[in-house]
Amino acid sequence: MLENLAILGGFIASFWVVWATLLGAALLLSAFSNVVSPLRKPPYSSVTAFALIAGTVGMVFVALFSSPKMGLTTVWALYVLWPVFAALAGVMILSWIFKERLGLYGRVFDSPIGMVGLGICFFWIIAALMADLLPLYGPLEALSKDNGTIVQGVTRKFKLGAEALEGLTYAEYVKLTLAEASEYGKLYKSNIRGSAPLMSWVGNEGERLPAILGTDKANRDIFSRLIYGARTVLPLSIGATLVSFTVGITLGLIAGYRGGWLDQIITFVANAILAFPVIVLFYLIVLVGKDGNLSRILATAIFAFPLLLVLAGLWGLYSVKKGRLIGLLIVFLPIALFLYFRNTWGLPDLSGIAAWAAATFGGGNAAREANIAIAVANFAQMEPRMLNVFVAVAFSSAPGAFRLVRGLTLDVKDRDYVAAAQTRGENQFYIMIFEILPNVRGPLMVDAALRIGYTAILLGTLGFLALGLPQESADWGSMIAHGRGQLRFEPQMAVIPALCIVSLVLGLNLLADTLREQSLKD
Amino acid sequence: MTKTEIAGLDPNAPVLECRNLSLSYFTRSGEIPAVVNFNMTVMPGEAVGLVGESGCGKSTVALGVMNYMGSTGKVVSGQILYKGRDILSMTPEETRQIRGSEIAMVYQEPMASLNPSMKIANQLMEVPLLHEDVTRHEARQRSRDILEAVRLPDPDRIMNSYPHQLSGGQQQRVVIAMALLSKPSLLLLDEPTTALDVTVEASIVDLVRDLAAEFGTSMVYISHNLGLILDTCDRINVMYAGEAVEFGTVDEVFNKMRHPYTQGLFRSIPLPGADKNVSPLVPIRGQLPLPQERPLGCNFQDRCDHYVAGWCDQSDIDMRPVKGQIGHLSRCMRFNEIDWAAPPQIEAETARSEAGDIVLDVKDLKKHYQVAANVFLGAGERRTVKANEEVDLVARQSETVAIVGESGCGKSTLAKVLLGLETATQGEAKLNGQVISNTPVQARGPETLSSLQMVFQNPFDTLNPSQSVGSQIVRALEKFGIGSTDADRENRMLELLDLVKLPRDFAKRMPRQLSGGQKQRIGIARAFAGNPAVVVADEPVSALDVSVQAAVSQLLMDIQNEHQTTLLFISHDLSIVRYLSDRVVVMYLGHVVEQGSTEQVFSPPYHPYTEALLSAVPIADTRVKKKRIILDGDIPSALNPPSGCPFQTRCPRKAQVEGDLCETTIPPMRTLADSHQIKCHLAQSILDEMEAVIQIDAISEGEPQDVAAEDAASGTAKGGLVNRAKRALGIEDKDKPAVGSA
Repeated sequence: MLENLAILGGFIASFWVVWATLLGAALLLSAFSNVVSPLRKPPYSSVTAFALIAGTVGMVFVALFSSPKMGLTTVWALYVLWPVFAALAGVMILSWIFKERLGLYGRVFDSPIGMVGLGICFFWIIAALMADLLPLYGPLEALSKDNGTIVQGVTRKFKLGAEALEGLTYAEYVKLTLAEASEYGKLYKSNIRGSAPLMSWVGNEGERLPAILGTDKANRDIFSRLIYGARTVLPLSIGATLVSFTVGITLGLIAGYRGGWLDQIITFVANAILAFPVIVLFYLIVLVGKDGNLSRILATAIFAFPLLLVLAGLWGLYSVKKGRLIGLLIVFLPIALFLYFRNTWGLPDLSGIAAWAAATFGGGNAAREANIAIAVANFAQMEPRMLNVFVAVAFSSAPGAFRLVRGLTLDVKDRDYVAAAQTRGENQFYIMIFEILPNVRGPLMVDAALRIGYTAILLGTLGFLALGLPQESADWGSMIAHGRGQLRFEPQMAVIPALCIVSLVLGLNLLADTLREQSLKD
Repeated sequence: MTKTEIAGLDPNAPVLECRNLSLSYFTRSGEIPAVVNFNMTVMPGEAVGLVGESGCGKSTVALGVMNYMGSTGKVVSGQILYKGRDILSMTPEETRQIRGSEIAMVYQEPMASLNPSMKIANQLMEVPLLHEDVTRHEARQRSRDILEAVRLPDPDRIMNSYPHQLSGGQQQRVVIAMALLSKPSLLLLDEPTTALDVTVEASIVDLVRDLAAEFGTSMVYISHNLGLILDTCDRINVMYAGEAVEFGTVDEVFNKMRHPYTQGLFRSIPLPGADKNVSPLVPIRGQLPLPQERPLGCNFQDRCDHYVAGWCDQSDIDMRPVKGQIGHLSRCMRFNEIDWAAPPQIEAETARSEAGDIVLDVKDLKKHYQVAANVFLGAGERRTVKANEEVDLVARQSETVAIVGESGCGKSTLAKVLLGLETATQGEAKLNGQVISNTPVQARGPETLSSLQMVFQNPFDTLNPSQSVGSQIVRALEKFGIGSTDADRENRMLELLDLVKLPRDFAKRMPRQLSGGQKQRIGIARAFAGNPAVVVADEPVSALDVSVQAAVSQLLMDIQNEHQTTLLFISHDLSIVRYLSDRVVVMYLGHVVEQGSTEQVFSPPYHPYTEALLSAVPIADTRVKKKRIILDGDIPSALNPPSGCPFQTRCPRKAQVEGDLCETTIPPMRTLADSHQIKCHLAQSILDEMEAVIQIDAISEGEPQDVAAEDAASGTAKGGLVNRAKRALGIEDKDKPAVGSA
């Protein structure tokens, strides 16, 4: 819709006008400061910085309220999200009060930049946690513009509500293919028209909220999807990035510390992956592994790294206290192995237990039985399709992390404290994990924060290739992919989810930077 | 001042004058005053030394003079006058013109001063091309000439080299050449030789002094090494905590110092004759106050023995002239009252335990490294680095054996082999009769591990920055199998902190919260955690400040003495070796060239390399006269060692050996006196005629009372310092007149 374009265009234009004015003023001020001696004193720089920040904030407000609709949008968003902001304020104030006792986390509050970063991260975490409590539409809930009725648009197998499942037994449900599931969805999709612009009253007026940021092509509320999207994006992008980092860290430590032929082989493979176009690689995974087994095999290898890293760490730490090591392994190993095999090969298969549990605790109610069965059958197991995400992220992030860790290890391994550890007979795992790894954490943390953002975008790319999450998933990357075609007419569809990714990456970066700085201070 | 012949320069007007200069850094935590109220004049052709420990503001002064303080540094008050013009009021364009052409600076790290991606020729030519109107050809010619002037061999080859193709000494010569290229009136040298080896340092210092005389350049020479200042400077400015505390001629400051800090500095460096058991070093207690925590009044008050409360801490103290000595200033309230001749307070002497049985026995130890360019492709082309060749040495219980040599001589490789970080290629090393040279560290039992430990060189590297100090010591105890419970080990760790004289609550601190000296103490505690039989100390104090050096080496000695530990003391600093060790092993290019008791090694006959090393050591004593032996060139690479005697390429006495013996045969180890061995072809008659390198001039330029004071300080009744030094140097026994101008 051209209306949206005009609003967003006005917003961006006023942004740049005010920004350019401020920048010019700041430049003039600093040029002038060479002449006017009081300005040469240090406080002037902080005054300038403050003026820039205050100006930017003010300018955003000017832009927002320059159109009545924009102003209304902001006010509504604040109204809808007030519990999130209240909780955020509570967490921040409490942390501020007790910052002396909170160690490294508390020291983030010594730096304004760190507080901003932490605030942004907390905002998304709290929003994701509270999404169900907020007056929002469901992430897959399509709105009808015409008569104000709410239409269920569910296609995801495990998202099938009791309503759609009526008449299906559990056995039938388990056999349901994706295509069939989407058939169910289509029944409801048929009467959906195009999207609604910003601040459209789509629900029953007076009862329901307006679609604050409009609706998308499937007439789903973008604002609600953004908030719900955090639920998918945060755990998945952080989890996948961390797993791929453990791959990079493990191989980087080994290559850097051991050197020699091992280093050359691993580095060669990493370079080969880096040189290979990632998108083509994803296609290969789709084509070769249609049955999903390729990604299972790859995931088996990838998920082994966190496990091995922890095992090596325990072995290094407790090599002198064998009793404690065995005790820890008895507790740790079964849980770790269970999680590992559940998530890679779905073993052990819990469907038998699920059927039993459904029969025992269902109480004859089909819907309840189905819910229990699904919960048990999916216990501690991510959706198999998500393995693709982990595999893809490992391929795109791990080589970079590997090179970073390897380079840092080469530098740190010649330090005297590493030699000191060697001379007291530490084994190589202890040296790699406790002498080297903690001392390369600074650049690693910053890099990981950046890559979490890449992963959020990658979720959309994978969705586009039908590799990752289902197309209708509310994650920000998929939303960008979804709104991509409408960019000229309804830019908010793609731009706003992109801004969400930007804010998350920015927040994580500021936080990581501050953590690195503060951890080095006294 | 006859050396000043620069046109248009008044020889009586100072080249540089700092007037009440205060420099501060502005950081987020506020203003940090780096230099306060600093005054200095540099006359044409004069060399002024700036001495002080790290953090006292020496380098900030130099940066201020260059008007190059970065974005956070600012001149708060005062003036910097260069030939009468205030540098601070110049436009950026004018300052840029002055930098490089009028004032040039030489930094500590030569590799960091040269652009690694540009050929030397282009880097040198930039200077005249930028500052003068010359053609490229002319600039090239001048660059070549200046390379010759800094005595670089084969200037044409060097012109076409990249910095990494040159050795450290050559690089620093290039940097000096670059600084002198536009004939500056003022040369600022910021620790120009600290990163270099002793023999290279000696030749650079020689070069700087000669060039300054030749070009008539004034110099500001920044160093923490008093010996170097003595060798290069006319006047000296002692700095402490951002202030100049004493200013005067080298003679005045060295012999008639009038500030307790200066005196403390001199007392904490070992002089060539000092013996560790007779006159222990006197460290300055406490630490340099942080810039934000400087006390009112005298900055040195917390560490000063002469401090009087209510007098020294009332208001800021000005530099005041010392009576009868024009130009000698001191920032001390009480310098007229202090008895400068009073002996230092020496702690009770500890009885030195006698050397016992052989603990460590190294025989014919060889360590060769195989280097291949590429694991997959370079299999055919292997080269051998001969890091250790035929190393023989013996160390007894509670004995200190010093291993001396410059970088690349194989001393660190030897330490690695002993500790099991490498295994020997040939030969063997026995610890208490058990062969350890072929057992890598992973295969050693806790017994062997704990009985052979190491103290590392760099205090900032010796502790894991991510673990608390206490947990690192506890971990060592765990690995050594000491204590049966965690509580046991916790207790033992606290005892170790007591042992190294650190408060017990340091256990919870992170390494970054400790000063360099404190970190080194923790390193010592960790090494002594398992009651080791042998401790290898790899330059344990060389990275520390002078006053801390004394305290840490004293501590090391005390603990060693108490535990009857054998100490292998690896060092390049012959003064401290002379002071600390019982026996000395001199290494060159993987070979032991000389070994014997400290007296034997430090007195003639020497191996020619030992002789050169001794002459290169800067000694902070005006009475000492040294024979100057400057070695040519650099240490050859261990990849491609010279044929025959390893030292033959640089040996100044090679001509005294007939024929090509030096070039063809490795000299055999000769035993001169009991246990004194040297590896040299020189005939016995030549060895017998060798003179002592270091001689103490009996007629000192200082006041007699000062000598007497030092004699009293040393605790020897008759003969005093001179005799003590002579005895220490082994001159006494010789019947030839060893004392030069006596």
